[in-house]
Amino acid sequence: MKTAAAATLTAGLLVICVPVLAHHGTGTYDSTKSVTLSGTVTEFAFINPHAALYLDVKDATGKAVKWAIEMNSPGVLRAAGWTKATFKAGDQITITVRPARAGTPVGLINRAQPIIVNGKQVLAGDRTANAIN
Amino acid sequence: MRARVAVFGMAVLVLSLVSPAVHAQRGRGGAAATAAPPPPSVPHDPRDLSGVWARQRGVLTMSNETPPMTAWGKAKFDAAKPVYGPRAVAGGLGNDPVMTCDPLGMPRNLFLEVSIYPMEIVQTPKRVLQFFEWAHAWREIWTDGRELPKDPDPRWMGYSVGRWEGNEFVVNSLGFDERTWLDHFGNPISEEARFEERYRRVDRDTLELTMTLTDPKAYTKPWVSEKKTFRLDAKHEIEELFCVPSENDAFNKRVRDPGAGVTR
Repeated sequence: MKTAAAATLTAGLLVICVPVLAHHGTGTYDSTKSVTLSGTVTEFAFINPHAALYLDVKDATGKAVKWAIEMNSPGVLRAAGWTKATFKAGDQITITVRPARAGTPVGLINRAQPIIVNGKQVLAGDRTANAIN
Repeated sequence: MRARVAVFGMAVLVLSLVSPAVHAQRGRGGAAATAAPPPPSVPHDPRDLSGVWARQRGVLTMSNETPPMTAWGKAKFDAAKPVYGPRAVAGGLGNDPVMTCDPLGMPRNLFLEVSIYPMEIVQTPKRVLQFFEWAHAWREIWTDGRELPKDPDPRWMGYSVGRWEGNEFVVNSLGFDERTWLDHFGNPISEEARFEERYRRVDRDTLELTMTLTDPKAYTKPWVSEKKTFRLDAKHEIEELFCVPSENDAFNKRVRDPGAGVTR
């Protein structure tokens, strides 16, 4: 219950940050915003050219919203300590993304923020992480 | 356990509120640029370009000084809908060939636009080979004295011959495929393009490259690049990074299209 409450709280809040001067822009995601999501992993596709994570996040009414998160390539992620087993279906995770400008439940991972899996921080925030590759 | 999750969730939230600086994005090149340079006295053979080379800072095209385009070039530029740069549209709305795993071709591969994917150069007696990590692509530069073909069929990688001028490796190419983009900004290149590359290994760990694109069908004057710099990455082994069409198609349908608000 507490988890659900926390998920609702964190998923519902938009955190506005200073604009990012990325070395190349992306038209899909709003790099001025971060959304911290808590939810249940349904699939982790550790594939080229971009890995993708799919998870169900409960909205304010308790309904599961299916989020898709774009990530770097497996090579980049491996170099940062990830493996194909970093997430598995059923994991409860907290993860931060740059949301799609379209307002749809799609985001680009923000690896500057830590990632929590089943209550344990498995990946620390990486300040040098370049999320758009 | 659940309580801990809740606490962590809130902690993450608070962290992200108070530390906007952590969102700065830097590529591996940017991080490497701040590292101490290696001692310049390390011996090296300036006529040996072998090694895995990672791009350093620089713009992801020839230079910031794009020459004026011809009408043909401008039309092609206008038709391009890039997903990077100042004209970027959402991924699901773009038409960059990379979005469908089409070959980047040449010269685009040389920009190593996704900076974390380096290239490897291998020298053999008759050819210099370049292996680009992105999409597992490779290119051959003939050094056996042959001339460029006179009227070649276009190829993604074009046709290339190379020779040494002192310690400078000079590559001349032609026969490019007009379906390629010159860069990820959607600048054009035509089948009439001539392309010259000048490589110089200035020390063991540093490779410099200057390029000149002469393409009268697309631009009204030659485009000389800024000096590109690559750093030797002796520990890196080129990975099998294919752009797999079937997987990419699934990614487009599940991530890029909804991310752009596109329903197909």
